[in-house]
Amino acid sequence: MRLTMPSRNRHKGGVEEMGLNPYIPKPVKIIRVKDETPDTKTITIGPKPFDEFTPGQFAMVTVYGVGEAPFSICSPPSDNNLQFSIRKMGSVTTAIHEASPGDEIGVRGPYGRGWPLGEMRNRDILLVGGGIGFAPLRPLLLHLLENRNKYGRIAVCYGARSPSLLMYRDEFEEWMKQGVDLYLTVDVGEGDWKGNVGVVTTILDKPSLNKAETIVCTCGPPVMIKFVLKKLVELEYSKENIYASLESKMRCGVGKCGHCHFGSKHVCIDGPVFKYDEMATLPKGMSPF
Amino acid sequence: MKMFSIREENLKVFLRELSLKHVLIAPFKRDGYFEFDVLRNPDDFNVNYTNTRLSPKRFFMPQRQLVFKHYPRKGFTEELKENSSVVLFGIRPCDASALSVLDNVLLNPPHKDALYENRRKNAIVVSLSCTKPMTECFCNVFETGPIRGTGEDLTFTHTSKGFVVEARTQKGIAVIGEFGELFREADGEMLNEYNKLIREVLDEMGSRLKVDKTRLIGIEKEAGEEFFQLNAQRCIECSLCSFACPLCYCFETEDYWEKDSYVRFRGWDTCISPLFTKMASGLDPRVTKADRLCHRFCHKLSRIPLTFNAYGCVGCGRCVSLCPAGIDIREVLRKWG
Repeated sequence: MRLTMPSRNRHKGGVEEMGLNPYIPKPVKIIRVKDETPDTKTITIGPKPFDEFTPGQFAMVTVYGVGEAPFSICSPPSDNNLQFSIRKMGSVTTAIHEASPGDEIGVRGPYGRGWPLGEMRNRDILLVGGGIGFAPLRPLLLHLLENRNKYGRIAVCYGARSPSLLMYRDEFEEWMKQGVDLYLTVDVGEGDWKGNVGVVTTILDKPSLNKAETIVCTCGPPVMIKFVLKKLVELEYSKENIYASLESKMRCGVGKCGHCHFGSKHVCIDGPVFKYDEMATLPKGMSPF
Repeated sequence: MKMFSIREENLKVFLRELSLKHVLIAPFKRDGYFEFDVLRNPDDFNVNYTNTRLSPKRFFMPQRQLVFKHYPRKGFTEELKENSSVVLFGIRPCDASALSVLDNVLLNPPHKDALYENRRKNAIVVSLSCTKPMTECFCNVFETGPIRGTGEDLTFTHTSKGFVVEARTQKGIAVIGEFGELFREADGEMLNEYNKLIREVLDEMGSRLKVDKTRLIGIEKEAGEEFFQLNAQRCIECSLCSFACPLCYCFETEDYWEKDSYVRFRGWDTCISPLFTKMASGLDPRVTKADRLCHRFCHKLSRIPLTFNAYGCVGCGRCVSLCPAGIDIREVLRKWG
């Protein structure tokens, strides 16, 4: 039974009106679709539906008629467009993989807490990524490179299951040219791979940084984060300076739907970037310890 | 706040007047149970009920609710706003308190749940004090009843000489003002009976269950796994506890194409479901039923308090009386409270 008569409130998703109801996505066009790895595509959408964001924040992406899911923004804040690297996994990601330029998708955000840019000023920075976990680290890396003189040395340790699953391969050379110490590793070598073979923890000792002062940002599968954190502490990086981006199922992105409420933290509001000691307070299953 | 009174025979007049100006929702007996619904005939209302089987949260967070319609050809998104004024009469103080907890969670800035806010702001909540609580009730633990709750605009208490009426908010005062001829100031004799009633009911409930609720914060550390594993062996994951709960607010969304537009609906979800935290990749931070039961209890008693400064349980007793497996949140309270 309908208790109340609905009144029609039409809008085209202007910024002011969007603020009233956080659940309404703004329609945006797909500009480009790029194959990143055999199972991952990077889509570029534009124009950017929101002005500012911090690297590490995420947005909720709607495929109309299919569903909505959270994705890390993987383009830097200075970009006029927005990029997401999306691995084919469930119904929403499969629909995105089937989309082509010109198609319309819905976006709302930016949500969550990004990487601690304020803490990074004049410090050495180490980024540790695993597989598609590099997606939230890429906007950070590109942002750091755009403001190169404000930060110390930048090192990247990046691992994937196989060489073809390393994302953003065509950008590696450019990163190194701009002074990034890039260390790569794969679990299983294939083809003409001449680099390191082994999990990412086997190359963590390679960067030469001022360990006590280095800010470490990591993202990857939960089991990788677990062992990376362990190894970082062994290598005498300061717990104070270690951050990781965690993932969780989400429906609203704004702390209402309950899906990402673990312990006293919402991944969507208090995260997805958590500090080392905050992760220790999360309940088992969510905590990487 | 000022105390008023209304004569017993005037209650029906009051309800009839209310139903002319607002959509009046009140509990009445249907198919053997008291349930909230639109009260078309005030004669159907009878004060002799303990509580409704299902909670009144569906009037603020419907089981299924349209979030938006998106018309791809015209390129715009339409949201539906409901703006009829609703009076919820006869809600028990525990359920009214649940609304104030929901306010804490869903209207917590910076992002407000616009769908909930819209319904909440258009509603006048009138509670009816419990003078004979159910055996499963434990609202005394969270101080959400039995006479006064925290989320209501007006509180009615039944005494032998009519109803004592307390205006709790500006909205409530406005209602009294609107129907001024039906209300008068409560006299001393009536207030004495009212105060005596509060003492009696509280004493009776206190003798059943006495718990220090502040000790519940952080129980997951103390509780360990054994208790939840034992309960998980009985739980059949029917999720009745979540759906009957007046403040389980978790929701899930579904999208599909309907006639000329893409629509998104949202509906109640439950943390007892094995799919609640499972991601498309297959990863699940809460794999076992015991983990999920632990979350259900700890979320209400410890995690919501830590995050939103309110308890996630109001002691209405619905999950206790409805659970087909006999899982009882009061066991948690007795053990660790």
